[in-house]
Amino acid sequence: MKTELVIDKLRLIRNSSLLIENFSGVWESGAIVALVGNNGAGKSTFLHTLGALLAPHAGEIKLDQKPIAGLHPLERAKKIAMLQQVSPIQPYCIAKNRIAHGLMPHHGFSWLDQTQLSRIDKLADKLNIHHLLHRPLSNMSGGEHRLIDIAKVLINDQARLILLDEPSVFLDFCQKKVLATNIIQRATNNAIVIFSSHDLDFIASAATEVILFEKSLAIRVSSAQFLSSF
Amino acid sequence: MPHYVMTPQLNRRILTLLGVLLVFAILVSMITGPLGWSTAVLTDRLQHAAVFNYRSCRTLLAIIAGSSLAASGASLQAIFRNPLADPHLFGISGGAALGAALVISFWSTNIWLAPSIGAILGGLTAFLFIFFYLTKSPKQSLSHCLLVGVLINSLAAALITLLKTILPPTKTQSLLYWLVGHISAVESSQLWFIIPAWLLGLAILIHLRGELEILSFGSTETTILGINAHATVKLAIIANCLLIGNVVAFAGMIGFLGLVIPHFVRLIIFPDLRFVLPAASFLGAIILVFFDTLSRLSFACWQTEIPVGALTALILSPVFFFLLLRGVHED
Repeated sequence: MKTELVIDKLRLIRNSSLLIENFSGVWESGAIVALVGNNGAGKSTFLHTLGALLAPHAGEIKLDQKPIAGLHPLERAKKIAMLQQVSPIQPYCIAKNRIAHGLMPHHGFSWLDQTQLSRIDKLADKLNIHHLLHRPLSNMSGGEHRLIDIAKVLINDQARLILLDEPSVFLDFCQKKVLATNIIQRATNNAIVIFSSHDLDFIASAATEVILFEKSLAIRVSSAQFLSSF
Repeated sequence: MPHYVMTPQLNRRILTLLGVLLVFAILVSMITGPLGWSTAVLTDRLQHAAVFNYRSCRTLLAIIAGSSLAASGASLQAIFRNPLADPHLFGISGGAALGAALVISFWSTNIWLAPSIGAILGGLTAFLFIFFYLTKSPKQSLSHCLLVGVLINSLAAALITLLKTILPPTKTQSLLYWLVGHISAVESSQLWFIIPAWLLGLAILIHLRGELEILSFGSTETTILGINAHATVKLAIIANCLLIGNVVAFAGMIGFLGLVIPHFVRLIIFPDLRFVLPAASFLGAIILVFFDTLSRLSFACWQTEIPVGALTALILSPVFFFLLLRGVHED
């Protein structure tokens, strides 16, 4: 069954200012949507609302015909994987353990078995981060730490909605390309990917569609149409 | 800093090893007295029933206090995402200390349980303040909750200083002894109160160890991974109150262990809280049983026991400093 995300008449208010008014849309698996807009336009608030971290002021969001607000937290965590804008730091944590956190909604808090360890190894190969797996997060550069957090999101291969808040920040050119390839692969594998970004190159290499945030309006345009305006 | 990945087998092996070390520490504690050691306490229990009972209750209290402080420190460091978080930073111990200080100061009868009852009531009052704050303002950041704890501690410290100033020297001395932390005789009847609170608090924290590990990455991360952050925090705070209140009530203000033992485990063995919580509980118990034995032996030199709280801080501070220095060099 194809994944379907439905947003119906969404209204978002943050700190008393109206960010989005009456926004609706339907997306199916394969969609890679870039959120674009000025700082403070509401991109992160939109992502947090899709991840059910914030409740909308009005409107409804459904994933596979089920309202996300009504999903059990654990069920929601299995279906929706999310990367925060600022990677949380816990200096002692080793990269491999951090990536394994992405498996927790499925496997609970038990220690990793051989199957899970090999899944992490495979993903690390795809993201070119194998050399980082046994390093503590405190000994990493900003970009390396970001990649570990991205791997934590992508390791949840049953997630149907992947939300990434500025994933390409701190990444070098090669890693951005690797990330774009992985995102496209996940989208073709029955997922919807939505990410916020200020990085035109990254948007060009990954997004199929853009949502522009401007003056309380969210406008859907194709990626090609958006990029042609520059 | 350890750089390996924990497996279920390795986790089991290390915890078993710590369990064996604890049994060894208990045996040493049981056969050691102020004048040296003798196995007769264990081999001829009928002859030495009184000593056996005294030492077993005392050793049990050391196990309970050590494991409670270490587990509590590990969980609070995760909840507040602060490596300096310590069981005594939380207001409960301040409240408990004030309760006990008031009883010692103004209750002339020498009932052994009286300071403990005062500590329980004081700790409970502080807990109710914190819990009331947490319930009334669920959206406030945890650092605000910590601030309430610091406020209670400051108020309690000020009132205790006032008591020390106005009390006669004999009372001040017994107050000081109590405040510095001690593992001394507890009646077996007291254990009926201590053990259930310890088991319940420890069981809650160990049950929550996975949630707390994620919580150390922040409450947003916890929610993303499908965990109810607020419920986890509330439950963990209740467990901490049980553990800290219990320890302060019966063993006084043993400092340092709660702060340092979780860091020992992280720096030497493995940093994940799923491991740190049970391992620190074991290690806290081992270390306190060991230092209580040392404190007993100190009687032979000075004709008085050095309070175990002071002894622990005195010996472990340089060790911890060395470990931190080694960590800095590795970085």
